[in-house]
Amino acid sequence: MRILRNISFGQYIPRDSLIHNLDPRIKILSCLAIIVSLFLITKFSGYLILGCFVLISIIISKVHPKFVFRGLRPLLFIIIFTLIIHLFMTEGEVIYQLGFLKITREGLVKGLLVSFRLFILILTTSLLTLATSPISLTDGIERLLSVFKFIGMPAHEIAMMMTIALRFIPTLLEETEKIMKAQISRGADFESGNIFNRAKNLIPILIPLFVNAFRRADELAIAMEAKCYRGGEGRTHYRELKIKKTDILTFVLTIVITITVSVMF
Amino acid sequence: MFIHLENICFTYSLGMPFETEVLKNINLEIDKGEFIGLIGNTGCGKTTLIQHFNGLLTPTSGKICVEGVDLNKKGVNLRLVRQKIGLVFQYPENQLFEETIYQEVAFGPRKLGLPEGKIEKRVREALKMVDLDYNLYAERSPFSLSGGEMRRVALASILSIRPKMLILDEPTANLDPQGRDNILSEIEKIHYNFGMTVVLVSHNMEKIAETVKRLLVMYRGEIIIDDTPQEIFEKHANDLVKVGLGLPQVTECMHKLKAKGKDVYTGVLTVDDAEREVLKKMKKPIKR
Repeated sequence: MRILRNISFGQYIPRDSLIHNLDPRIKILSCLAIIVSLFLITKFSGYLILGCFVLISIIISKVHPKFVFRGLRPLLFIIIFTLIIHLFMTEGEVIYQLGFLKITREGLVKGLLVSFRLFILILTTSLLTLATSPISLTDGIERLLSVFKFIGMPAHEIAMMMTIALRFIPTLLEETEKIMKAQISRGADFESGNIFNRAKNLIPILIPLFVNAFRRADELAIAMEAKCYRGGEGRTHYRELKIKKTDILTFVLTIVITITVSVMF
Repeated sequence: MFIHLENICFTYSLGMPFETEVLKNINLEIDKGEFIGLIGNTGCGKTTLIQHFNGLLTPTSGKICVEGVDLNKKGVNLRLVRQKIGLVFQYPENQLFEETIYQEVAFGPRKLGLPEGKIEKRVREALKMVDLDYNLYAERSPFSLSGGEMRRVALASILSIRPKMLILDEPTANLDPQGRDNILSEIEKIHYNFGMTVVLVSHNMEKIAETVKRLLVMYRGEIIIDDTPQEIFEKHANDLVKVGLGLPQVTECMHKLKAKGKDVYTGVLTVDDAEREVLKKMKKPIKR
């Protein structure tokens, strides 16, 4: 049951910091810039500079690094997996050999580069979700997406769906835990048996979970209609997003750093 | 002694910024055949406490023994413990999932690996205990029932495991007065007819106090009072009001009479008791 408690995805940690107070649009775009440049860099020194930039941002955000690094845990396997694949599968100058397995210099370099890339990518995105409340995050996405309104992109509806989805993640997790405990009390067993039995054992959790989720969705829809919700058209915002001086400065700084890094390294 | 808790402490999200101490140094003994009410305000740790009884939660520190077996020892078969202690969660109707009520109630016994003949016997027995007619209900879908009936099916699905002890978390929540009285009288029957040890968890004094024989009052993670309802209402009325639980209306009425100088016994639980007490003090014969 401890499993469910360790999910840090989308867990906002409120603090009063420069990063927290940035306009969400700026934060999203800066993250995008960093991610794009991550894929353009080909040298370690580039990753080092970008990594330092992200680390400094983490320190400025006042979010304990423990939480940012916790986002890595579920993806650690993928990082190690790619590292190993690159280590053994790249042709080139052999630096270590064990039977038919050989590690090449090129493989080592490439593997480490890809690992760094994933590492910084995850740190950046976890910082974004840790330092931005879900509401302002979806606000930002909505405003950014409304650029595409002319091709019929339902920006508001997409943002609303995301808000609702994010809002119900903790609720559903809590409910899953409760149903699991209830079924365990009735004699269910989720910890033993082979993979087919385990999958079958999930039925007593999934059915009640779905039944409740549908019921909740229904109730939510009725509640929204009762409050006269009718989609995005003509809807005004409670919080108007405004670009401040610090936003512009941060954005310019990020762009300058990412462009320099991608061009020079 | 059936369950024995020694210095139980429990902290949620230990070592995280949202760390909260839910249970503080709980000591408790429950004997076989007891009928206990566990009362406390929302968030005082009642639900957390009962989840320790069958090993769903492990205490941060302290010791729990069920029939002399220490639950925290390595190699203890918790499934056996959960079979002895039937825990009915709040809104148990939310855990129903089978196609028919028969299958629903048979879930527990089937997981115990019983043969089909014995399973059917247990389903009949469990449905009878909650006053549902086997012939009428067995083949219906649990999702076609009313809220009160669904709750009774959920209760039956625990009873079919034949636990020695039954713990019910807010069994009357969200039921209309009739549904509430029905389920309480069924629980009473199960206690008296089968000698089942029962723990009723509630945040509401009314009704529960007149049903149980021993009352535990929880406040902010501690058991602050442990006594019979009569004694509690007579001696600890002020404490109950102080922690925001309040008294049943009749008991409050008797306390007000006493405050006005009438020498009445304040440990009454029901309107009938109160009537008898008042008439006795007025030296009038009891009619009826």
